Amino acid sequence: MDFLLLTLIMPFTGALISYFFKDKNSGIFAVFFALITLCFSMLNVFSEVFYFPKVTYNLISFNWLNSDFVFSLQNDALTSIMLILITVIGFFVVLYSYGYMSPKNADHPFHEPYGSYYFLILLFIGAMVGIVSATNLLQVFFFWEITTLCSWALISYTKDQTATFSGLKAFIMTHIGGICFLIALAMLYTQSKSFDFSAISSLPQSSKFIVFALLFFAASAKSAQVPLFTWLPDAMVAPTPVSAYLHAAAMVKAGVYLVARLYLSNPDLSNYCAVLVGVVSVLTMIISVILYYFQYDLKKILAYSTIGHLGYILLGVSIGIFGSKTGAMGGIFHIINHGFAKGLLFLSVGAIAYATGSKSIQELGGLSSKFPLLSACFLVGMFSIVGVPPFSGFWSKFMIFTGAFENINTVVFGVIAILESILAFCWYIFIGQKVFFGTPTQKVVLAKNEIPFSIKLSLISLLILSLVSPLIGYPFVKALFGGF
Amino acid sequence: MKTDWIILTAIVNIIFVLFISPFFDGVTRKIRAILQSRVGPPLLQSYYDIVKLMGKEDLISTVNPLFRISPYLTVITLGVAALLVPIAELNPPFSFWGDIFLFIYIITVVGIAIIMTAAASENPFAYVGASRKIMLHLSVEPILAIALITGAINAGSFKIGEIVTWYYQNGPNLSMILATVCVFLALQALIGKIPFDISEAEQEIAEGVLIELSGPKYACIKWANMSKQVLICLVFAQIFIPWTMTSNFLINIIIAFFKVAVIILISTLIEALNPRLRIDQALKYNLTLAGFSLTSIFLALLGV
Amino acid sequence: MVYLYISFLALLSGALITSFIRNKFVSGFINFLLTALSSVCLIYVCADIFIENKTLEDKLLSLTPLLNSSFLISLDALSALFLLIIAIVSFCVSVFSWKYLNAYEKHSPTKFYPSLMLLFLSCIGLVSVKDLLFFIIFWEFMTLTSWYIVVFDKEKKEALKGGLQYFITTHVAAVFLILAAVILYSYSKDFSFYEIKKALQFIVENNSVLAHFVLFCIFIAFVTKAGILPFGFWLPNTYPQPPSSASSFFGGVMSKLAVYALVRFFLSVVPLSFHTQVWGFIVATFGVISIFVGTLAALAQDEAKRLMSFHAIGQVGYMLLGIGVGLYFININPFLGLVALIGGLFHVFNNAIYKSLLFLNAGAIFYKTGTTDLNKVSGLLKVMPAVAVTAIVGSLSIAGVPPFNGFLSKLLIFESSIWASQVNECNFIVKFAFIIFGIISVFISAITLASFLKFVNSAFMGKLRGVIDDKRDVPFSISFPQMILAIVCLLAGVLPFIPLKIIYLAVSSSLDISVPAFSTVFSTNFAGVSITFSEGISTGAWFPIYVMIFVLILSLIILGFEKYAKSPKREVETWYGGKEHLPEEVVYTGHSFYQPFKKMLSFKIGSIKFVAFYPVNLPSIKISLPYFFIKLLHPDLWLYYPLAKKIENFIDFL
Repeated sequence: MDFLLLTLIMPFTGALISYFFKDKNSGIFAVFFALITLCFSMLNVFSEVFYFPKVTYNLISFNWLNSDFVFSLQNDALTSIMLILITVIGFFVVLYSYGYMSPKNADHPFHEPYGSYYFLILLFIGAMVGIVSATNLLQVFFFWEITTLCSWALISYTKDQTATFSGLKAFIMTHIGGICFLIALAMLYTQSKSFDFSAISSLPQSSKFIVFALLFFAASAKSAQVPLFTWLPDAMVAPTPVSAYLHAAAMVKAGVYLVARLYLSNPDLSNYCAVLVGVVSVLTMIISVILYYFQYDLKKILAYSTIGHLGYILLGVSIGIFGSKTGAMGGIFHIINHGFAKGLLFLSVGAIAYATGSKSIQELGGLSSKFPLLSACFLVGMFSIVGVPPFSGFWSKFMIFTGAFENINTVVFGVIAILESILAFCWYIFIGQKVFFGTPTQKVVLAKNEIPFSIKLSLISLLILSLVSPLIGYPFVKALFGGF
Repeated sequence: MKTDWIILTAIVNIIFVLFISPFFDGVTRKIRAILQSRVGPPLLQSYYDIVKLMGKEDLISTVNPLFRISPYLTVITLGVAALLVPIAELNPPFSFWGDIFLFIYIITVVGIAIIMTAAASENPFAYVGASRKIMLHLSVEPILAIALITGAINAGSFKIGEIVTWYYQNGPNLSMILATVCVFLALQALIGKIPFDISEAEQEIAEGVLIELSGPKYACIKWANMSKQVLICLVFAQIFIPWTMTSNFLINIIIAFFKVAVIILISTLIEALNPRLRIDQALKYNLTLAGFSLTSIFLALLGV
Repeated sequence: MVYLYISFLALLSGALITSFIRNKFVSGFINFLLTALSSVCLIYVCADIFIENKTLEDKLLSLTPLLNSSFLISLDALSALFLLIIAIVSFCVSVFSWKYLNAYEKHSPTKFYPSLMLLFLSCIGLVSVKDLLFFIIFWEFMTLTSWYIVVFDKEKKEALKGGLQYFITTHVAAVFLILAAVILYSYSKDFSFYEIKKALQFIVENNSVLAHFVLFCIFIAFVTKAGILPFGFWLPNTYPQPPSSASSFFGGVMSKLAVYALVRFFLSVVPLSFHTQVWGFIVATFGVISIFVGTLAALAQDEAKRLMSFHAIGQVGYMLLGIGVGLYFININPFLGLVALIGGLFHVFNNAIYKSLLFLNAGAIFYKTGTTDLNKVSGLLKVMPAVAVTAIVGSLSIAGVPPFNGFLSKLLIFESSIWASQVNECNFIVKFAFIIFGIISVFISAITLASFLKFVNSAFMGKLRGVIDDKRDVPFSISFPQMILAIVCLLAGVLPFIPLKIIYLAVSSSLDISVPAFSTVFSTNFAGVSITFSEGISTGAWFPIYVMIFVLILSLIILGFEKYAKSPKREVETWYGGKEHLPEEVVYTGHSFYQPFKKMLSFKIGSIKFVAFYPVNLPSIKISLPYFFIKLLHPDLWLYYPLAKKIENFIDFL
């Protein structure tokens, strides 16, 4: 338990310390603390979760709202998956930022001080650890709003007009979700006197659906699902490591984590909930895949792809509520597979922008001869995302498809998901060939920037992690499968 | 079947196709001369030609080894094909080693060998001839194939001997008559005589495939062309009109000889009285005929 | 079994090692060494299986409880047949690649060898597994690695286009396979072929429509990869792009693995029923369509590898015709069904050998001249006689000329499709259709011959043209694999009873009904086979040894005659009709072959022009979405921003 607590505390400490350094040193401290966080979370995961299916630690007990409120942390397989994702990608993103946040960046030069940047990003890591290790909805809400704040500040980091606007948009939209979360909490507490995840089960039938729907709305705002999905593509103005973290591990994953957690804690959710989640996720997938074809900015394509893939995860959960364990496990499995792959994709796009100063598909071409590492990273990430076996995305997607076809009600969802998969594949492979193969364009020929070592290191590490992510996720998903 | 009988009939077939063929060629030359109001060469002139050419100077225009081998191959393959045609009795001598498809393919190999010779000779005229020869071959081959397949469907076997036996015993039916007519119409194209001697047209492409040949090679190709004429006539005479067969094989051979002579007469008349077709006209003619001959398959399936 | 793992490991380690070596010679040598090791192991495994006619099974890892699937390796005679093909071809391809890659001066071998070895690996895996999930994984992995080889020359536009077409089409087709897999899983709850067979049995009995749909998905997935028209439109654009050694593996093995998959599913996974008959007929129909269109279109090609790619389509058509006829009749008339299936699979074997040989020939031409355009090269026999001879052997084999191997397999296919006429249980129209199929394939066989004579005549015969570098001689490591393959072509043709026996084992082991014994179907001796379609009566025959003996005797006689004549020999110049011409002025290029025939086969439908039945200018399809629909997808524009504005105004108002 010490390790889990330390994992929670370390990022916050690191955030404070690195804030006081204005120059490159703040980056070094941030990397150091992210590494410590990573170590503790690994120790925590490997010392506990293989022996106990679920561990809860009560930390502080205090009296609030006329009842004993316990601030406690928990660790089970789902938390472990999220912890791995948050701390590992967090560490590599911070490491990457050390190279990326420099005046030499060809895309957008960043000047000192960097203190506030590392502060926010470490705070983000801490808040995410808080969300996934919380034992009840109130705690989740507390950290939830911290992530909203962080994302707002990070998206508008460059402080130009579009960045400020996008930050505000993201803040307002996710906060609308936050308000719904608050209403749901109020309803939950007035009726069941508890904030536990499993408290929904004890609600009367009528309010059960409303509470779930409100919570789901909050989660869908956070995870950029229909209808509040427009903030995410705009949030691409943030520095690329931030986008990577936002998409791969933090922020948007908080939403799907909440839904998955609710599903795991409440086995008796009604089919209405499943239909709600399923329809929203499938709608999101369709919209995102159509909008792929109108994007000419690499980061925006990735943003829409994230939206679609969060749809996949939610679809898996929805199929799970319908009664297919395979589908739900596929959804949870997809969290980790998508996380690593999408992190890798964003970071490689960031590196491309760092070197060439462009993210536009029309301006780029023939990168593979000059930047073989970046091409390898992007291609591996791409194949993982679109689900070409044996890359990671295939396994979880396949489980979702399998789950969808197990139940006659969800066959439609399954067919749409498969269709989405094909369409996404076509556009991705087109872009992959266009950007990386062919004759090098002017921008690529002129690119002079040397890619810093820290960027290369984090790319290579994520490349390997993305390749083996099914192996990492497998024991946890297996534990979850047997665990309820 | 006894081995000595097989060897005997095989020798008969070989002699018939390879060694009597120059005589038939002499006959055609004589007939053509008579039609054109000439005296014409003696009947054995083709033998003299072959023997004379065998001793003539052999001009080699290329180092290509295929140029040296393939003329002989044409004669050899014709000898193999001869073994699959029934002459002395209803069963061809080597019926046990192959069937109609082997026969069709062996006829193809004769063409391949000539084409290879032409292509190896490096002469552009020869190339033109080779190209034409292939086109002619692939347009005319289906007609023979369809006719033989019609027989195979009727007889329930792919072996030439059994097809002929069935045909002889059951008499002609509608489908077989149609097939026979089709083969007859394709006969000139199969032999490669006017109006279908487009690949060797003297006036247009200077004998096309034969242009660079001389001496023994030229003799071989000439000889092969003569033998092919006899072979195709034999196929038509013995497979598609197998009447009449007696129990005495000597009489059978004599009957076959006269049947072939008649068919060659007809063929020569056609040759002497017709102009040469253009290659596209020939292709159109052959492919139309092939399409038409599919009717015989349809009839055979109906059992008539 | 251990030997299979050794070959796996050898290829895997080879892929890892070669991805770090930039020296062409060293990495080529490592590739050669490890592939040779894997081939030897595979041949040992195959021999073991064939001799004792047994099935090796091993379960490596299991994915339960997530999915009821396990890495089930199971080698029966059918798998062993394909392992044998892979072993032979992969060995030849890697020997060939060693020096061949020097022709690509600017390219690093790290882009080629790792993916090539992974491709070998995925092919081996594909034929070894008996679990649908892992089958799909190997299937897609094969696509992925081969795609990477297709785009080897990354600056060539056609390569990228071909790669894109290839990957998208085959991936979409693979999605059909995934669809079939998940539908079947919802019934079987297990991905192993045994359980799926039970599930399919249930579906066939209870839900006929669903059964047809599942079979349709399987069919689409496999024929697309096999290149059956119209699904195989990508193939002629894709196969010519990679280095010839890889093209040779594509044409020789990869497209045949699709046939393997088809046979595996329809014989050992799908229960034999009326459904197999229907799909057998459909398979045969599509086979004939590709035979007809693919091969005719090849006539109009002037680029050697593109020509061969079209033939790859046509030849797969022959296999599918045999297999389709076999599937149709295996229940009604086991003799006929068996002969047809054996014919189809024998053709797979033969085709793998000669098709890879021909692609290697094209590679050798490229090595020497830097191009494979038949209009630009000729007379290469003078500079590379070994390659020319093997090319002639390959061309005659693919045309099915006796005594090479293509003849017997084609013979079996022709005869079995025509023999449909004698089966009383079958419908008149079906009978007629099968006979027409047979006749079309006989006719197209001549076309095949024509187009390969064009290849041989324009590339190897005639005046020498097109050699760019006189010093770059074709090394032994390039001609040696071609000789091996040519010898296999000849041996399989002259001694047909060995491959026939192996293929009989493959078919009978993958079928779970009892089939007629080998000796009742084929009466063989060392000299050849005779084919039986009904108990006791031999109806077709092919005894190559007897024919060869006779040919030998005749040739001795005639050559003796020539020796006796003793005509004097003299070397002369080519005669151009009495005029002085440079050879370049009077050359007859590949494009000039068969012009009238090509003209006859070309026509126009609407604005689409067909040359030799193959469309050459397909209009590009443009899909555009209406503007309001796009706007609808951006709720910012019509909902959120106006709403925000309203609220802002409201606050101002307050």
